[in-house]
Amino acid sequence: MHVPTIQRTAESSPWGPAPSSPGEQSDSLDAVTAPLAGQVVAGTLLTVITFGIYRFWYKTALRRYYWRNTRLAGDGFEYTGTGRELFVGFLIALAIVVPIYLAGTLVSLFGGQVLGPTLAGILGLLIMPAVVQILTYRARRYRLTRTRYRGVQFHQSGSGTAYLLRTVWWLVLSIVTLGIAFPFFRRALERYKIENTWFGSAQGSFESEARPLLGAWMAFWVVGLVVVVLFGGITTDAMSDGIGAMFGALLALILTFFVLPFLWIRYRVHEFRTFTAGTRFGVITFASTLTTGAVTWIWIRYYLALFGLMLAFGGLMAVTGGLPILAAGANPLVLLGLAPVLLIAAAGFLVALALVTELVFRRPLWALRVRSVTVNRLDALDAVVQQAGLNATGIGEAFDTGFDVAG
Amino acid sequence: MESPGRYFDGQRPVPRTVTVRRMANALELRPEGEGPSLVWPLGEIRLEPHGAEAHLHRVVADRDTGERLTLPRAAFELMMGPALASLSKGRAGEASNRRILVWSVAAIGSVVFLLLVGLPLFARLAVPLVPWRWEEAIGRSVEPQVVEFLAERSGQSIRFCGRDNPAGRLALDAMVSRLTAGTALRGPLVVDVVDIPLVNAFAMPGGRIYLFRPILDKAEGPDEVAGVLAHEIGHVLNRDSLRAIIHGGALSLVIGLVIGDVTGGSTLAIMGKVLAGQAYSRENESEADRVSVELMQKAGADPRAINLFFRRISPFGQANRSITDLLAAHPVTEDRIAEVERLAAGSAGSAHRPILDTGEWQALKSICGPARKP
Repeated sequence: MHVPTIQRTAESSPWGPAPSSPGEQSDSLDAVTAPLAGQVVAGTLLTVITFGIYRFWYKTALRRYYWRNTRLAGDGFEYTGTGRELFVGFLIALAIVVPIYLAGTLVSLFGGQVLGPTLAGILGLLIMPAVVQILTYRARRYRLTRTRYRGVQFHQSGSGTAYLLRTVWWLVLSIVTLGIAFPFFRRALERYKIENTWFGSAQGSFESEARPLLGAWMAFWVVGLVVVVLFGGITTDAMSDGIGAMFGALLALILTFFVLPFLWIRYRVHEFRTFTAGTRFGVITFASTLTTGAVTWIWIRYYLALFGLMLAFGGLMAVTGGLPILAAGANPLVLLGLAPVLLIAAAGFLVALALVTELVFRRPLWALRVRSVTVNRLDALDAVVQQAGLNATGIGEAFDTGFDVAG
Repeated sequence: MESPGRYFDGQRPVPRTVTVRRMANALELRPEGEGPSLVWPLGEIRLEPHGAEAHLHRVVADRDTGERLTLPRAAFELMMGPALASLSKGRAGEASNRRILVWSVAAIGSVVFLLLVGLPLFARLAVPLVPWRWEEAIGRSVEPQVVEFLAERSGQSIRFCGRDNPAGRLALDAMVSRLTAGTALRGPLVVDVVDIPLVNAFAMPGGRIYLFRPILDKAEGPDEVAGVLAHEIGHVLNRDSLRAIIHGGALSLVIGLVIGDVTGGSTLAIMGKVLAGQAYSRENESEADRVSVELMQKAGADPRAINLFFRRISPFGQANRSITDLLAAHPVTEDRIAEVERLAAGSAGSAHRPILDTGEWQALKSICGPARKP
């Protein structure tokens, strides 16, 4: 059996081998914040007008923006996927998801008192998440094969089923250890993804440990346990005297809404730095200086902006008489007559929400993460060669759908 | 005219410096040092302007060759002149904006068609395919949710009258059997009086009918109650609630999946449900009215009693109706009342005999016992 070698494809270059770069080079990733608001407004409006069908093209436009403006050593990344591929992938995903959904509906209607809920539970809580996990892995393959840097394509090996099996195994271990093994679960999945990631002929390798993450994880875990105990105490009236119960409830609320989110962000930032440092492509290594404070600040600004948006729209509704309309909405005939007004208000709200989410949250977070990363031994890119035959992609690859779990 | 550029051959991520020169129908890329020049026909070039740079890539037979060329945007635009506008943009395998527009319009059209025509038609065609046994099973699995919903809505526990009142039960059964005598039913009707303070009645899949207590309290004769009951039997005969369930399920499936995400989806889904639900139920009501008149005539009772009842409980123009009211679920219009009058005109001259005798009517009236304290 003839195996095509790396050299064969390299020989097809018209001018022989490219000059090698002198010495060791490293550079940080750069994020260019080019104008984006116009695309968000147009994309959201078109999505609303087309009953959501345009969202595949909108998502493609956003990806092009983020890929193109992520730059390394003077060259941007490229996203070569198209909206049509996403749309076709969505139709295929429908063909898989709809029968499961229908089966769930049918068994819960006709399955009887015991069998119905059991079968519906198996479908909804086991089979559906399993399918989504496989599709998630395939969606990553789609995104990687549609990513190029300096003309050379990324791709992904491995299979969704193997990814699913790892997920199940580590999930069981995490549950058995009451969640303490969670960083190991995360590392196992990240490892599978990175080791199956290719840039041309360069395969990723992953050497990160989960142990350095245990400190940040246990902080979150312990506070989570305290919250559970507090809520348990309040509901079972163990703290029966009024002041104690009130203090406990207040503490539980503060922990739930302020401390736990912060500790979760802190864990994820630690994870990002650790996993980035553990990723290699040959001799090319990475490092990240992402800080918890900077990420937390983005989250705070995002929540403040959302809060402001709600206030602004609530005020607008009150002033323009939108609230009485909604109150009268109990009568369907009134609602019918006011449908255009309500639709315009809803579209305006969705555009404002999309602007806030994209400009106050997603883009700053992207820029922060990208700029935190340094790439070492860029000179080793010379050894990377494009691999042939990657474009032979059936539509089955385009499982990247509206069920977006990325980010 | 020439310009320096950065070229990637699509094989290795290593830049080569080239000199780009415009030819009549192509660009020539001359390497630094040794080697033959490359020629990119203009028809194979895709352009992506990016800040001060022009990014070009090459697509041959709708496939991305991986070749990339970056050069200063100003120099490139000068070099291309008027031919710049005719360069292709976008990626291999991408449809043009015009095709996207055409297909979007077509997609909107088919979604609208599906919602207004397709789904109601589907529900209508699917109903006869569902065996009655299945419909009964659906009714049994829906009933607990309905009871729970009603209990929540009225703030009381739900009590079924007549289960401990044999006389009232007998009167109710007599009314049902006299109404349905000679009518081909697919299965037994199960009628119950429910003791909650809402003026309503409805039929669930599988022949389950709830009459709410205030209907008995406000009616001034057995024929008024029988008219409402006959209307609900009409819904059972036409299998309207099964059709509504199939229609609603298919609708939420279609809207939820087409819209896909939560942000835009929920708003539109709610709007769509309200609009579609309204348009859907009106003809069903007229059809149930027709059955009501027919059953009442066959039983020798007064088919127009239902109109008296409706006029008594609904002074037109009354505001502040609750969604669970009879009027919201079964909108009473002057059209419907006139239609009942027209259908019943044939029997206008003949003498009507009330469907229950006085003793039975009293038994039915008191089926729930003394009024509950709210």
